[in-house]
Amino acid sequence: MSTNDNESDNSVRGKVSSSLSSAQIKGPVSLTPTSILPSSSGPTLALNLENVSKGVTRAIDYTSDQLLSSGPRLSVVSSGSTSDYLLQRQISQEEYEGLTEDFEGDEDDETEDHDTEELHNIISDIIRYERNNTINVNSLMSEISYLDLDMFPNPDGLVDEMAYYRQHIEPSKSDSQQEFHYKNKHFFIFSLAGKPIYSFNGSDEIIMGYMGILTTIISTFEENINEEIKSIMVGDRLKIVALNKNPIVLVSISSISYELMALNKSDLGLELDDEIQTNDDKEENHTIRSKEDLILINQLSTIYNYLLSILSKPVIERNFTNRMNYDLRRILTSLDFQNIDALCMRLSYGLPITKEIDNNLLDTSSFGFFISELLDSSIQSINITNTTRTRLNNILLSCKKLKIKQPEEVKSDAISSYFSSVTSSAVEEKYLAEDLLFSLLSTSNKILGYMKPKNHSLSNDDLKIVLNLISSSSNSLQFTEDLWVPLCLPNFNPNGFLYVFVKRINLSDYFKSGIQVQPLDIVLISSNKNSFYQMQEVSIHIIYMIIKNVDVLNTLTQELISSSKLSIYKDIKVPTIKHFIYKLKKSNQFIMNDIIHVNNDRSMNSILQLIYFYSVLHNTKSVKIRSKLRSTYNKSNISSTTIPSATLSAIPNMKLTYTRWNFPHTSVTGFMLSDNDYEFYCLCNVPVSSKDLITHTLKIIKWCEKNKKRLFFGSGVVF
Amino acid sequence: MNAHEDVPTLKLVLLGESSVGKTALVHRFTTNKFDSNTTNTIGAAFITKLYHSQLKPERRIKFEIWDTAGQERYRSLTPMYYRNAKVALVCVDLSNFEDSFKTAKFWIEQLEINNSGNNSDNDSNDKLIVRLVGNKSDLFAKLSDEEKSDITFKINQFTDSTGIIYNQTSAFDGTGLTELFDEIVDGIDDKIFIEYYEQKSKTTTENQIGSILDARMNGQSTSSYTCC
Repeated sequence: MSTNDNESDNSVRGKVSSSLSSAQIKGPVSLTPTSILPSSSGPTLALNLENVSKGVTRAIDYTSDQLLSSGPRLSVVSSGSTSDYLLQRQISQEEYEGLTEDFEGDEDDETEDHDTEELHNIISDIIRYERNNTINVNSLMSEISYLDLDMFPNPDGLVDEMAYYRQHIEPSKSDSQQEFHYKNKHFFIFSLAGKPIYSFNGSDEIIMGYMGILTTIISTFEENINEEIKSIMVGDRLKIVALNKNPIVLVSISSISYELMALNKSDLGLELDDEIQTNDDKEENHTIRSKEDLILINQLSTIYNYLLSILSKPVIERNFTNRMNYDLRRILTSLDFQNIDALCMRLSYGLPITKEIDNNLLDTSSFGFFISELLDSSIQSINITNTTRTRLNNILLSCKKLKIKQPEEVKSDAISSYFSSVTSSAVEEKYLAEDLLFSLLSTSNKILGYMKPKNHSLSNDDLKIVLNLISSSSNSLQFTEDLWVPLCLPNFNPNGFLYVFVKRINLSDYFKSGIQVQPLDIVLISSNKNSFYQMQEVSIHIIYMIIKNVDVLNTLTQELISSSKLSIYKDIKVPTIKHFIYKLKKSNQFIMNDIIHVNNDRSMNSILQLIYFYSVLHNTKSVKIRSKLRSTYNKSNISSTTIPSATLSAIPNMKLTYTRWNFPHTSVTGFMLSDNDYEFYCLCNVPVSSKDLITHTLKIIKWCEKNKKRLFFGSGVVF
Repeated sequence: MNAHEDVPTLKLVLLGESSVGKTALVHRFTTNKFDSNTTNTIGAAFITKLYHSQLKPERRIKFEIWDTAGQERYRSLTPMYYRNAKVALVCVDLSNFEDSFKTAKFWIEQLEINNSGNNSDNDSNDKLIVRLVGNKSDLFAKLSDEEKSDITFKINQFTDSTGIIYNQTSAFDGTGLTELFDEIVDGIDDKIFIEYYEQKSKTTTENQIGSILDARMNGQSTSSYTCC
C-alpha cells in the first residue's frame, strides 16, 4: 500500500535496497582493524556482531513513546504486531511505527475551517507535551551558530565558525595526518584490489594504508560469509559505509550527526489496519533493514553515478579487465576530481567549494542539491507563469517539426542548410531534429521547460547529472560557446552515451537598458554523436522563437528575474514562516523560497543550520494522523475504521512532525506536514503560536496547490 | 561584432594533449583574456569569432573554432571535429615538451590519413592545413639554454621533414597569436573570397541587402586586386 510518489525513482531505490538487504551480517565475525578510526585519539575498537551494522544509537531522539499517551483525544491504533520482525534488529518500535492516532470522534463538520481547527488541536496536544519534541541548546552567543547545534564533533571546542570550517569541514589533500583525522567526513574510491582512485581528504601517502585495511575488511566479509559488507558502526558517532560496485568500491566515513540518524521513511504504508500492516511489514522488512544506512549509501550512489556518467559502465569494466592494475585515475581529469570534491561537499554539507565561503554566497544551488538528495532525488523547480512555461515547452516541441531541405550536393559548408517548418513538396526533406531525444530549458540549475519522447523519460537522477554537467562547466561556459559533450545517463542506459549540446544565452543582450538577468541554458540531448550542427541549428531556432516577440522576451526576462526570489512574505503574505519546502510527490519536484529570508544572509552558517534543521525534521519519525481531516477532498462520510481494505489507499496518508529548538535568546520551530500528494517542511525562527503555525502552514500549502502549474514543470511535453 | 555578418567562414580545429593550453589559446584569441583557472574542456566547445588580418583588413573571416578536449577518452569524437575543417592547430606545451610532442605527432598522423582520403576528388583548396603550435612560450623562456636548444632542434627537425609550419605562442601574454591568425587568414586563397561573394550576390540580388552586399563585394574585390 505504498504511496504512488517517486514513480520514476522507485526502481532505483528498489535496486539499492534489495542489494543491501542481503548485507546483514549474521555470522559471529570479529575483526580488529587497528586504525580505521578517523580520530587520532580514538581507542582501538573491536568490531563484532554487536556493533557491526546495527542501529545507530541515535544522538537525537525526539519522537518518543511518551507521545503515545499524550492527550485524551489520541489513541494508538497500530499495535506491536510488527515487532517480531523488528526484534531481529535493534530498531525500536516507535522508531518504526511512529504514532498512529485515531481521530474517530464526533466531528462531522467537513469544512476547511474544521480541518484547520483539528490540525490546530493536534499541534496543541503535541506542544502540550513539548518536552518530547524540544531540544534545548546551550549557546554563548545571542545569534545561533551551527556550532551550537549537535551537528559535528568538536573535539577542540572551537567557537569560531570559520576556524571550525577550515579544520573539520573544508576538504584538504595535505600530507598531514592530523589534518586528515580532523575531518568530519571522508569519501574514498578505490579499486577492489585496493588501489586508490579518489579521496576527499588526505594525500595518497596518507590514504594508501587505509585503502588496504578497507579492502581487507570488504573482501573478508565477501569471502568468508558470502555477504557484502554494508556498514560498520564505531562507537555511536562514527559510521563506515561501503558500496561495492565491482570493480570499484566507494566508501564513506562519517561523524556527522544528521547522517547517522536512522532514516525514517514516511511512506511505508503503516497507517492502514493491522492486518494489512503486518503483510506490508513482511515485505518492507528487508528494505527497512538498510534504511538507516540509506543517507550515506545514496551519497555513494550519487558519486558512482557521476563516474558512470563520464565513463559509462563498459569503459570502467574494460579498463579493469583489459589492463589489470589499472586504477581509472589516468582516464579521469583534474576537472573530474574537482567535480567529485564539489559533489561530496554538496552531499555532506550543502556548501559549494569556494575560497569566499566566509562571504555571502551568491550561488545557493549547493543547498538546493542537498535538499534534493534529502527528499529522495526530488528536483528543484522554479516559479514561472503557466503561460510562459507552456510557451517555452511549445517552442521546444516545435523543434521536432523543423524540416531541412537537403541541397543535392552540399559543397560549401558556409551555407550548410536552410530549414522551414512548412511541409512543402521539396525533393529531399528531413527532420532537422531527428536525433533529438530530450530538450531542456534551464536557469541556475532549475528546469523551466522540458521535452521528452513518448516512450522514454529521464529519471530525476539522470536529470541531475545533466544539470550538474552544466553547473560544473558554468564558470568556463561563455555565451559565445556551444558545448558538445558525450554523457552516459546511467538510469537511461548505463552502457552507452548520449550527446549533450549546451548553449548559454544572455537575455540582457537583447535589451538596451542594462537589465541584469541570469543566463538561460538550452540543453539538447541527442542520440547521434555527429548531430552537433543540427543541434546548433535547433538552438538558433529556439533563440529566435524566444526573442522574435518582444512581449514574450519581456515577460520571460521579468519572470526569470523574480523567479529566484520567491518570498513567503511578499508572494504568499505569510509573516512568521521564514523558509519552506513544498514537494509535490507525484512529479517528485519541490519548490522552496530564497534562504535569504531566514537570517537575512546566504552565509555558510545559515546554510548549515538549515541543513541540520531540515535533516532532523525529515529523518525524525512523523506522527501519523488517521482522521477525516481531508474528507473535504474525498467527499466521503465513511468512517475510516469501517472502510473496506480495498479502498483504504484512498485515505490521505497524513503525517506531521513538530520540533522546537530552544536557544537562550530565541527559538526555532520546525514543522512537517505530509499526505499522499505533498510533503511540506517549514522553519520559523521567531516565537510562533501553534494556531499561527497551522494557519500559515495551510495558507502556504493552499498557495502551492493553487499554483501547481506555475511551480512545477511536471512531466514535460511529449513528442 | 555581429556574428551573423556575411563573411566567409573558416573552420579551425585545435588538437593536442590535455593541458597544453588549447582552451586558453582560444580564449586569448576570442576575448583577449587569460584565466589561470581554466578547467579541463569536457567534450568539445564550438566558438565563432570574426577576424580580419592586420595587413589585409578587407579579408574578413568568421572563424568557427572547435576547441577539443585533450583527454584520451574523448578521442572517438574527434573525427567529427576535423571533418570539413580547413585548418588544424596541433598544440604542444613547450614547458612539458616530450609528452605533448608525442601526442601531437599522433594527431598529425591521423590528420594526414584523413587528408589523403579526401584528396582524390578535390582540389588543394579542400585540403586541411596542419600547423604545429608551440604554446606557453612564456614558460619556455625560463628553461635552460640547453633545454631550449634541444626542443628547438626537435621541432626544426620535424618541420623540415614534414613541411609543417610551426608557430610559437603564449596564451598567457598573447605573444604570437596575431601572427598565427594573420598567417592563417592571409594564407587563404583569394578564390575563396571571390567565389563566396559572387555566390552571395547571386542568391540575394533581388533584395536591398543583396545590393548592399554587392557594394561590399565590389569593394572587397577591388581592394584585393590592389593588394595582390
